[in-house]
Amino acid sequence: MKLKNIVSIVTITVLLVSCGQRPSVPTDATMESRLPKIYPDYTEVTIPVNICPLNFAVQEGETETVARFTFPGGEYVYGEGQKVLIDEEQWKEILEATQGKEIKVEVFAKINGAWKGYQPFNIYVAEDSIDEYISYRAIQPSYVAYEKLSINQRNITNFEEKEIYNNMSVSTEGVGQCINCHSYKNFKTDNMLFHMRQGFGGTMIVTNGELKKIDLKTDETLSAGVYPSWHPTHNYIAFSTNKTGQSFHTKDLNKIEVQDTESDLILYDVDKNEVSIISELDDELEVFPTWSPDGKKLYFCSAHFEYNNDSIEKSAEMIQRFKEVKYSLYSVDFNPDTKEFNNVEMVYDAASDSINQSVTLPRVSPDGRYLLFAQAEFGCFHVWHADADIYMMDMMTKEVQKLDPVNSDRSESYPSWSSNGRWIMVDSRRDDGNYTRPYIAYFDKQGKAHKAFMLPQKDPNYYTFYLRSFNRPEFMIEPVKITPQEFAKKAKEDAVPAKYADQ
Amino acid sequence: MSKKSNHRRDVSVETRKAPLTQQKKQLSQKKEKKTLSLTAGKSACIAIITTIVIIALGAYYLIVRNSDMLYMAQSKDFFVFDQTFRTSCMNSPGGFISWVSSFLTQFFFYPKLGSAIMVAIWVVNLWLSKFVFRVKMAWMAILAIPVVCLLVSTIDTGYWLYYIKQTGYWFYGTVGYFFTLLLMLLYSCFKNKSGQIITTILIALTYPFLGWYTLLALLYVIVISLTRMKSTDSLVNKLLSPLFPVILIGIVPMLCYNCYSSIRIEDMWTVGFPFFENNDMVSYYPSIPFAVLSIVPILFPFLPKNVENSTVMTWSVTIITIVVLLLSWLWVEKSDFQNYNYHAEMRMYRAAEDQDWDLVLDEMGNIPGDASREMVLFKNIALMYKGEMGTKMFRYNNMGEPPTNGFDTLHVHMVQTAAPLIYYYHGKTNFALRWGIENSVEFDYDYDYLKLLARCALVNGEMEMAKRYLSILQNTLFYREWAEHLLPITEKPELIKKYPEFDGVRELRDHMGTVLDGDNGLCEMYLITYFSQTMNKDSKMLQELTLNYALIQKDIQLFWPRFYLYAQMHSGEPMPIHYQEAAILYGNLEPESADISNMPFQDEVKKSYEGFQQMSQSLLKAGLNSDEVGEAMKSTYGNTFYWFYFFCRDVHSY
Repeated sequence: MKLKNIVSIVTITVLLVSCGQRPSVPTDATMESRLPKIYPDYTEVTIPVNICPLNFAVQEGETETVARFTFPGGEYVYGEGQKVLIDEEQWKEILEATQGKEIKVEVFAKINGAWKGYQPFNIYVAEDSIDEYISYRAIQPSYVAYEKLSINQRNITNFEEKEIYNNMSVSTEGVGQCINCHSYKNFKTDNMLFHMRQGFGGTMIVTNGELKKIDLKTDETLSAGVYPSWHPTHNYIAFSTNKTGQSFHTKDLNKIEVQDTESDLILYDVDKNEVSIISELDDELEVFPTWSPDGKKLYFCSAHFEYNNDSIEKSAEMIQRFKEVKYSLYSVDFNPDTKEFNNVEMVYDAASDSINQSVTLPRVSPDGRYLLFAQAEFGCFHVWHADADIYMMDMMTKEVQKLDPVNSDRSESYPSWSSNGRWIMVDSRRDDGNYTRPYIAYFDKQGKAHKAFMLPQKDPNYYTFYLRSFNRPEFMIEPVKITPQEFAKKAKEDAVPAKYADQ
Repeated sequence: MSKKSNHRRDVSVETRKAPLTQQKKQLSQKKEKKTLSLTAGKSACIAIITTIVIIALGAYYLIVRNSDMLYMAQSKDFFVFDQTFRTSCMNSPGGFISWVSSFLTQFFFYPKLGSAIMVAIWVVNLWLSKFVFRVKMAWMAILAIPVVCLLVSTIDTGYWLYYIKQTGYWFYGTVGYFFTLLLMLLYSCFKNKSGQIITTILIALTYPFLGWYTLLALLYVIVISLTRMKSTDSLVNKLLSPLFPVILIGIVPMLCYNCYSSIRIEDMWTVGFPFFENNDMVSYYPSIPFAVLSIVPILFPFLPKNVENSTVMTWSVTIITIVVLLLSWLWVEKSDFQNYNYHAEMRMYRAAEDQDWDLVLDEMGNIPGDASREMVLFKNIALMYKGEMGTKMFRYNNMGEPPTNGFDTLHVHMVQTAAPLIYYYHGKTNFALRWGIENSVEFDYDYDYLKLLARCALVNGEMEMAKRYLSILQNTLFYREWAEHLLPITEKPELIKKYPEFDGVRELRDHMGTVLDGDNGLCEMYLITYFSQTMNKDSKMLQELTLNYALIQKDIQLFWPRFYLYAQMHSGEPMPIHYQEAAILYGNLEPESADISNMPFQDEVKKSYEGFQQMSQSLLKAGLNSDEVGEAMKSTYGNTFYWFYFFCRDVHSY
């Protein structure tokens, strides 16, 4: 009997305490005629119907916060200190009820003992879903050194995140390893790749679920494969080959220039383990290949650059003339059956006197109608160029427009499309100019981009404490199935050398 | 009652244990009293003395001898109450120890407080080991060996301090050993086999949290189970008791490997054991204390239990206690890295951070031998910020020896020690940021780099970036105040003008041009090249810096235009003595480079130059070689630019 009483009292107390913690909307708030300062900024954004909760923090000073989410099916109220942390199950309910409509969010903050209410904002829920996964390389804003690097996959319909591969699973103090350029065929992971440099170097290529480690460097090519693009229908991968260097601005806030002193394009036939040349013109710096969705065109960027000072090394001349390096956009026709390339065409003459800009990282939309790229004044490494923005070409009209809703006054680069073409993801340094974060924007059927929002995290302060960049964010429709340990085991094996096929 | 207690204290343990032979024993004891017996009181005395010795050694070697080092150690570590940090700690086995240790390391912000906490845990460890291994108090000195190892491991790292990658290294061993003993205490609580097996499994389950120290606990379980084995135990029990933990040591790390993606399988059995290596070399010396710490407790269960009432044993224990304590002290003394420059660099670094330029110069003035290049640079920075480069730069020892550990061949790079702060004070905030980030990539973010990155971002006008770093520091225990002092600037950038600590750096940076280049990892060489070839007419501070670097460069052609510009910008002011010395020297060495006949040199300068020339000529005529001449002239002319020009050579930047 006594025990029963104790249990009852404890239960009631716990219930009372938990009830007491539930936030309620203040009735005595004075209203402000402005939007609340929230981080990340989710005001007036359009979100996928299957995205994880948009948790945010209210930045109105030392506050107690309440946020009311009103949606067609009802309303929920949240608030924990300065944070608005949304219950995941309730969020699913909200999204399901709000497809094609909007959620009204009212934010209240208690400042110096008095409640203030702010202008409500909407979160629009699109009827379109987004690919369940993204992957990115977690890297500190890199100069030269590298230590702990990982390629991570994040389920963006919830907060689950795992490492695909971590270089520390093979690295030692004596033999370090850099990893980069993860890439997938048609958003699926049974055909994927990433590179490993320095220690245990090679390219990890998964074909039809089978893992191989290949050395793509041949005597006839400039380097091993660098920037990759999987052919959508055949087992080919286009790569650039690059001789890359870095130098440092003594005062300019862009801080770093990453430059290619030479670069070419190669094609790798996965089944035959053969490398062949696509383009290796002397005075052209070809880079960033990307296939059209039908696989009949390869788009790439190229800068015309003639070295004219024999008394110094190419890298030194490149440093001296770094602002002269401007890339334009080209395409070349491709016959997948014969592996023949012909008919190089200028698609967008960014380097022309009239435009005088430099284009990088082209990506064609899954329906082939649009082409996204990053553009800045010069160079090829726009993540370090604050003026870099995302532009879009309408392939039917060849008209180029700046995608204002996804851009900021800081660097935007590495655009990518979701598999259904309704979502754009870009890498942006808009937060602080130093750490790149993935931003997602809705791209509607009329070809209009909407305001981009930062990838949500469970803890809205996550980005403050996470001192790494999200590098090369890519959409995936499924997770990588090979475990990090399996990758590590393969990484320790010798790479199989690719053969060179003279065409 | 009190009488009874007193009586008990006088009677030996053996007497109480064997009442049937009490009478005989008492007679025997009466006889032995004439010789020597180790009573419980004496054993306690040994234990207390040992404890006091440990406290004294800790207090002396940590607080008195190494406060500056411990302050630097905490500044090279990091702790914040945040999920992201916690997760990063837990990314490898033993992560919980890292997390707790980095929490404790931050208390070295006040070296006395951190040391007190550390010594307190050592004392707990000492006494805990006594109970865990059921060792007599008389053996306390032996039990103290692991604790001595912990002290040695704290003060013997030398320049590895800058290269340690283990989060919370400074408390890692202390906390790890503490948890090992706690696990062993739990194991000791169970007498029956089934309880011991369950406890052994529980110990194994702590592997993700304690890593190496879980395996150590399992190793000690093997030893204890062997020593406590009874002849009456069944064969299965005899085999199972030691074999079971052996199997767990073998398979638990292997099983756990699949839960970790950031560690090599080969390292799963050693994760948490400190290895001192970089891409050039491996140093075994600083790992020795950890190896000894791991091995010595294996002996504890074998220490004799019956130490009373035997003269031989009594003498043995007494001698062993004295010898162990003496050897411990000698080991600690020998391991204590008391390189003068090593400690002076840390004191100078801290003073420079606080912009206490007088203290920087005091340190430089007190060095008994040659300074390190880092110290020379800090001295120059202090003089620059005090506006005394032209009058005092060569009054200090400008020779510089590369830092060495002595016990190994670790090659210390300035870019990994003080270069970020040196670049910052030269107004080269981009390079300071670069090396702050590069080093954070390699050794993880720490308080020191976060402060530096925040400062650079503020000076660069990158307010959101500054706010991020300051917000992180705001969430720490001891840097909150520092961060909150600067946070207002991130909201109102114009406020930076009201913070005098940024004035000099801003002036230098704002008047510098921008170019695209690199330092190839050599900070000092880069600064000499960059500034000696820079000209500036707008900032007196920057202009004087370029003149001084032209002096350091010993380049006559670079000197004259900067000298004339200095004279022009400081018209009506007295010309600093070192610039006069350079002008008179260069004017005589290369008369075609400048006409100095009308320059109004001070008499003192003319006399010293003539004296320098005469003395050097006479010494050379006397048959002394160049080095000997330099050494002979050092006491008279070591404070002049002439001496620097001719005799300050073979300086190795690093």
